[in-house]
Amino acid sequence: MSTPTQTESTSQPTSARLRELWNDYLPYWFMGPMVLVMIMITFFPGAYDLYLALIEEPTLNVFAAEFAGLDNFETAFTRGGALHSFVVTITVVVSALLLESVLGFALAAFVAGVESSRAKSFYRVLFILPMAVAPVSMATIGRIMLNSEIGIIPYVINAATPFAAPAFLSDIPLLTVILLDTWNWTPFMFIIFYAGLSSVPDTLLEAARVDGAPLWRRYVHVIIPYMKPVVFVATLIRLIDLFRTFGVVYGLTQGGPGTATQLVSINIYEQMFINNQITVAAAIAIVYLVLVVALCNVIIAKVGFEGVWD
Amino acid sequence: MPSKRNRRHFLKATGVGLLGGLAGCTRGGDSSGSGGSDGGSGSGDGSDGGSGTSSEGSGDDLAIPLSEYEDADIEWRQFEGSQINIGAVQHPWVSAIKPAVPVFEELTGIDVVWNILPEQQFRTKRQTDVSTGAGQFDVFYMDQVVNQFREEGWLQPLDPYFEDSSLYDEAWYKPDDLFESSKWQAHGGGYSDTWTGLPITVEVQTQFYRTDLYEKHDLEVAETLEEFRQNAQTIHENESDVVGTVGRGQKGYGMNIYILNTFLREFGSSLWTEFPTDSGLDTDGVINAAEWYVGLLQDYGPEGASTQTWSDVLSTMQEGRAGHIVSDANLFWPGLTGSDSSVADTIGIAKVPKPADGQFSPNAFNWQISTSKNARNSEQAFLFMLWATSQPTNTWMHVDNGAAFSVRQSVWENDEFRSRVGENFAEVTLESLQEAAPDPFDRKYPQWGQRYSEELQRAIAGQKSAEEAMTQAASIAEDIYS
Amino acid sequence: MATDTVPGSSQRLDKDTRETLVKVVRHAVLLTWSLVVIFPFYWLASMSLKPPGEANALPPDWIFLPTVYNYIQLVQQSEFVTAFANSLLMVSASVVLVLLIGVPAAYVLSRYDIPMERDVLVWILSSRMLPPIAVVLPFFIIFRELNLFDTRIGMVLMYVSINLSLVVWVMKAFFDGIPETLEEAARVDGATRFQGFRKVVLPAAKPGIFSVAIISFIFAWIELLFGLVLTSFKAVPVTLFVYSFIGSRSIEWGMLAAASMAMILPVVVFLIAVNKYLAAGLSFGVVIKE
Repeated sequence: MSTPTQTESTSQPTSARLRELWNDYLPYWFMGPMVLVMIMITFFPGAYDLYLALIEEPTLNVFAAEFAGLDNFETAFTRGGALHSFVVTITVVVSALLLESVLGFALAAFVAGVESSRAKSFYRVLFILPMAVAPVSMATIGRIMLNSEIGIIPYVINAATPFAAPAFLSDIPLLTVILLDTWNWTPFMFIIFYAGLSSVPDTLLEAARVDGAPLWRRYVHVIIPYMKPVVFVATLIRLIDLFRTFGVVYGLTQGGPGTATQLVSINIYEQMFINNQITVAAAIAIVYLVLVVALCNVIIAKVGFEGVWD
Repeated sequence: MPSKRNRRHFLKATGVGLLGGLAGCTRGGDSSGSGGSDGGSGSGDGSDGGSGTSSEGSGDDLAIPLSEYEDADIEWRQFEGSQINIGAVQHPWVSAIKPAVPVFEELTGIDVVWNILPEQQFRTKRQTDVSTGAGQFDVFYMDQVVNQFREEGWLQPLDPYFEDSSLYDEAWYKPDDLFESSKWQAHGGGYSDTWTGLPITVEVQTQFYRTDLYEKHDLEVAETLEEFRQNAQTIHENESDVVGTVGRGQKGYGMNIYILNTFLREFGSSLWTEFPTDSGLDTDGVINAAEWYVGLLQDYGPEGASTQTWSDVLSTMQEGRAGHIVSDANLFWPGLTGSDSSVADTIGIAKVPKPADGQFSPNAFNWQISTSKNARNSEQAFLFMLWATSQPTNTWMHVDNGAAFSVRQSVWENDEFRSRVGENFAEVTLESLQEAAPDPFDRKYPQWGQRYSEELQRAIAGQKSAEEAMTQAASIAEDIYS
Repeated sequence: MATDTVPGSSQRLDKDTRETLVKVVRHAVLLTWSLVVIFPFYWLASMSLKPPGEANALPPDWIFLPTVYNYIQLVQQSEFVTAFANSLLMVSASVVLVLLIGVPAAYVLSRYDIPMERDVLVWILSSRMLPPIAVVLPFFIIFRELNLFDTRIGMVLMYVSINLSLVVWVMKAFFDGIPETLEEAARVDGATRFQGFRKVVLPAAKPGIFSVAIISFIFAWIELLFGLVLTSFKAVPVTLFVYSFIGSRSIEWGMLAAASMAMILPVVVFLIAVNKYLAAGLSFGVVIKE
């Protein structure tokens, strides 16, 4: 963006007019590029999926396409296992979200309370790292680490605890997926919560401290309300990202055993790339999109994202 | 086998040595050519990474003399100056053929560029490419989806090229040297009248066992399933930290059912008793096979057998934690006897066991390379396919460059090759290949195969009985075609 | 937990024990989680430093002579190095761009009355709702039509598009938390709206900006599917090369681990570089005095 930032060079009338134009229409300049990108990345893919969901045979030639009504939707739910995959997905989303937000907040609060600034920096870097592991490494190396015969994690559990390690991927696949996601993505919550905590004005904290309120009440009554927009947005975005989780879980379990961890995204993948039924995949995607949009609307309406200053 | 332990020079270094090691390392080491020459264990040797152009061949130093090809009555240079793009799986074939590609480039004047990916990613990319008609790949790896792709009209049949006398010379190519089963699979496993591609590699299932444990417990190599189960039991019960056997349990149309399909044929059943109305999956043969395989893995297999992929099977065996691999691709041989294996010197290979009154019939799988209707250079692609699967190229790859998966019978009978890979490995493989029965991949095989493998996985995980699982699989498969 | 009924006299004592308790719990949680985080990384690193064939050995050699063999192999692959540099360039450019586009928009959404604001926000969010697998085909088609296929610019745009919704939403939340009185005070002093944004609001939102920068960087850096489908030679991201050690009949564990470690390195460097800004905190007094 080329912006007239120097207030000193006011001699030229054209630049002054430009600046006027810039400041008067600031919201438009600020919003314009974002809206453009959004149009590009939402309208065409959405329309494309909707179109595919409604036709018989995939073809890019709109005029040759045969309208299929709701056939693809029916196939998705009768034969495609769509319903089951929604149930699995919601289980994972709810449990992982709960774990990640509570843990993320606790870690952020605890790290913020650490006195030594060096220790603070160390924790900050360390706790963000798990999310930087490429999904392929997560899945492939995660698998071998969890392997009952030759994996290090069962080995350590068996050697260091009185419990026998479970076969993670076959006995408790869903729990394993949830815990692995927690390891992987708690950093996301941590980093945003931590930044949110850092933005709480010292004056506010001081006032609460002077008040003599115990720490937990300072959190409940002062800090969290102040941070509400940040807490809300982090949770909402993580919710959406959890819904579409794919790579690590697919690499880890391929949706199995059986269909125990068959997430919606895995179902869509299999419809497209294994069954070669792009139209059915598109139908699932549309149902999914409608559901998640509705869910977000409900959450926003119920909770509201306004901060205390609005 | 030549000693692979010398292949790699480990730079053990600590502290200062680490820096010294880094500083002292130059770009000189051509790790792609030499490193890749170990019969297939070597993905990731050197420069066959994700994609890139093949190295420029210097005309004076070709791997195979051009005269081997110039005898053929084929106009090699008719497409001089063009370029073909090959989409390939990260597979030993790639590292085995790459050093010879300059020969093709010199011979034809066609440039070759590669796109190399692991299987799952490759499938995604391949399907995106052909389904949208983009046609980026002139040549690409083809597998279980061959009839799915063919029915969609995406594959270019090769017969017109075989009939074009400027492109093909039968006397030189010697198609009869290709294994019957490989040719059959290249014809869509009997579902296609024309060539859908040319087979590049064949792998057949064999049994692997630990010779040291066999000696210790005085065991004989199993020929029947009963004997095999006995051997697995002996090892499982008498060795600590070693399970009786490993075998694939993970779902996927190329995973657990790839193994089970061997046994169900040996029990006298087949896929599709009556295509497409009777899947045959609920016949006694299939149920017996499933019961045997499920029981074996549950009783003498590792914890969590139901989620084991080929790589878990291989790694567990390499770490010396299993007595057998009941049945898996003979291509595991280099990995099991190479430097990645801690039991390299004590691995034995034998034919897959069979039921006492059954017919020996191991599953085989061919990778083939195909070209698509939307590809811009299908004729150039055909020339490449012909060159790559020809006798001179194949012989060179197998005798001089470490490959061990030839689709040509003559290679397996080649003495130089046999002494390189070991008599035992060569003999077991050849005998297995001659009796091999590859899977016929009908057009919805990926779809119902996936569900069938899910059911098998459930049975291995103990969620349902093998009989219930196979009956369910049968009705799903038939329903998919109804 | 103490309640309001505790008499004031004993509360002081209570408070001390409580604070000790908090301290103990804090250290226990932080140390436990550190262990949980460090252990897999330790294992990954040790896999990458062991010679081939020993990566998965059990019982593990906790003490072993490390070898940099795998790393040397890795840096000798010119294609890996090229892709690594390529990815760094594309991802960094996309982070700068997504902040330039997203932060101002978030400011407007926070401060101005936008018609149908909630719908606009949900619409923005909807861009990250579908699994990438469901939108990769349309993107492939667009990219080919617009000649963006296999170009660095195309990949930068792709990375911008996967992160834009995150930047807008998170930054809006941070702006919402900054009192408007601050800017109003600046405007009373004669600053324009834009100057108020740049000199007052942006510095106050620093922790937010740097955290979304980190997250955007990571999301783009580990992105795989679009990189797989939308490139072939010139703009191939490094994630694809991590895959090159997973073969069809063998996995090179040591190399895979080394490549995974190498992938983490830029993130660590980036994190250390911006670490201090994450904790910048607000001291409104200073801002207002400026």
